[in-house]
Amino acid sequence: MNSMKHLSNLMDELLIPLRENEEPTLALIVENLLEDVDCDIVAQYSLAIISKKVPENIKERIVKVAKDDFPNLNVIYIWCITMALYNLIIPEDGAPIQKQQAIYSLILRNSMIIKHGHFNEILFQDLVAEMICIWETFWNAQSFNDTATTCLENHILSKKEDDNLEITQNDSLALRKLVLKVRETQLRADIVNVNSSNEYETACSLANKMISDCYWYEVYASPANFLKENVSKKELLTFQKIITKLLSSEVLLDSVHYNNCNPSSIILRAFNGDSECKDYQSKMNPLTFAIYIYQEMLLEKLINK
Amino acid sequence: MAEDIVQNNPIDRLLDSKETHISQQSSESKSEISEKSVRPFSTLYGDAVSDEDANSFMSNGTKPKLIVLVGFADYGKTSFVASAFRKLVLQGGTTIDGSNYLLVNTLTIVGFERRMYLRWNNEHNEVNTKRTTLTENSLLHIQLQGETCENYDYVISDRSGEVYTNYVSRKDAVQKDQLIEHADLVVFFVNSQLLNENCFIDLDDKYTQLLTRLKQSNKLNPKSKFIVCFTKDDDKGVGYDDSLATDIVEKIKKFCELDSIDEFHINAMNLLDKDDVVQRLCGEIWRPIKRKQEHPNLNWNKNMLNKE
Repeated sequence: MNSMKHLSNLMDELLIPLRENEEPTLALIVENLLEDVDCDIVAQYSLAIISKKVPENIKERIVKVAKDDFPNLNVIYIWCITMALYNLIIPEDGAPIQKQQAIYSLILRNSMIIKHGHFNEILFQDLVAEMICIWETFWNAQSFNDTATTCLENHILSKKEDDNLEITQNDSLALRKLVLKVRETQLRADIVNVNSSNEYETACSLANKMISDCYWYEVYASPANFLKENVSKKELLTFQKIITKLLSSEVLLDSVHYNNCNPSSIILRAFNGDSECKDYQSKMNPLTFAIYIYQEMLLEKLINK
Repeated sequence: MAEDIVQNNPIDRLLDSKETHISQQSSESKSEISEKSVRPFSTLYGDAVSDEDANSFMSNGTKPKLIVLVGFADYGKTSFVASAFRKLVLQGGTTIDGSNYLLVNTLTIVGFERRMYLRWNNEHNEVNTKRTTLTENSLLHIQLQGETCENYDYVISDRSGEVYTNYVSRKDAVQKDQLIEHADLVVFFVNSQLLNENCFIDLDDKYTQLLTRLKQSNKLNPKSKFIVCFTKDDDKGVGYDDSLATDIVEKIKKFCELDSIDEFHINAMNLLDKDDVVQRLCGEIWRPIKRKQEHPNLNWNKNMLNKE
């Protein structure tokens, strides 16, 4: 672990540099923040980084490690939390990305909804950008080779009489496309019933159907193409209004109710009545909202799998 | 006189001017500004802070614009700060490139108030103002709000002129300076009353040594913006020679490695006039620093939609 190599990111955000004797304390704080980490703690870190608000329990951990004369600055706290998360998500040089690292990356991505439309306010953007890309890199690589083939073998080809058909690695791209086509066709048939006059409701129902379909989320890294074809982006409401509108739909709420969801799943928490998550004023269209909720449901599925 | 002071109480004026400014807004933006404006005035108590505590102005995690005023004693730095603040208070805000910015907060009202009072006293009582002392804290804070309610923070370093006299004689003192090299804007002050045959040699000598020290210690950061401010322009005195002002400007340009530099000739005791020079100078001082561009990978939601 070498947190100090990104010290310049912190120095860029300060009016004057830290004193030399304060730098080792930063490393100690980061090290402390790496202890006893789970998905909920990672979500707390992620939300602190994106919102620039550090919860009291994390502040207490930092203050415990820091000496009395250490500068009590929010920006320093945020940098330490960012570096802790960076160490958790970014693999050591050359090492492959672990699934847990990818999940942590997804948690950070999901928490960014609270700054939708205001991403320029996020501190240490280079580091955050590097961390959120880990999810995509991992998931694309995973789904491409292994899962598509398994799905095809287990769920589609097994229903046919020809058991002698062998699948080679060279076939994987074509097979993946084939699996997707089959599942898309089935989903398309399903969504005839989904279309609602409320586009945000359609977005929710569709994301929910896609996540409930195990083939879909295991095979397809990105839901974008399918959602683009089926969800409009014409309307533009604030997050607060979207949630209020959706909360009045009882049928919908039954299908998207997740107990004890991860703190980074802001939409699902809002559906659960978490008042902290209802008041965001960022505007988003139904398609953007659909992508966010899909990713939240995906995270819940992965964590609880 | 006491009545004058009461009538010109900057806090009352500050609040009054805010009311006036807000009443001119549309009803929607009025409510937004009112809501945002309530909170900051809970902080009407802070004094100037020391250079070592500069980072304490970073409480909300947003980097303020750092403005460093450089010049020797009696060059008008503190008068300028007092007048600039008074202008914001009395005129409600300022206009930069056609947009209006409202004064909404300061974390160092006491620091400003003292500077304003001492200069006011000097002007009306004909007694010499106590100069900014060597040990006095120098950093002051201002927060302006743009028309779309975004806030911009500024930290101004108004040090005693003796600090810069020390820099001329002591290399180690310059090396310890942490503000100039990190400044977004450095304002070099020159007393116009010294631009005559009798006084210029001393002024030129001191400025040359100061600039040499700053250059040798790598304190003149090419990323900073530099401007020159000639004060006491209304009372330049006998023997004023305009070419000496040009000499000083050329010297500063040379040390800062600039092809051109903006210069302003003002009366630092009074910036209330809306003449072109004052407007341009205030525009330069309060011009917000460019916000960082958003990293292209951060909007992953949009990128996901565009990619496929």
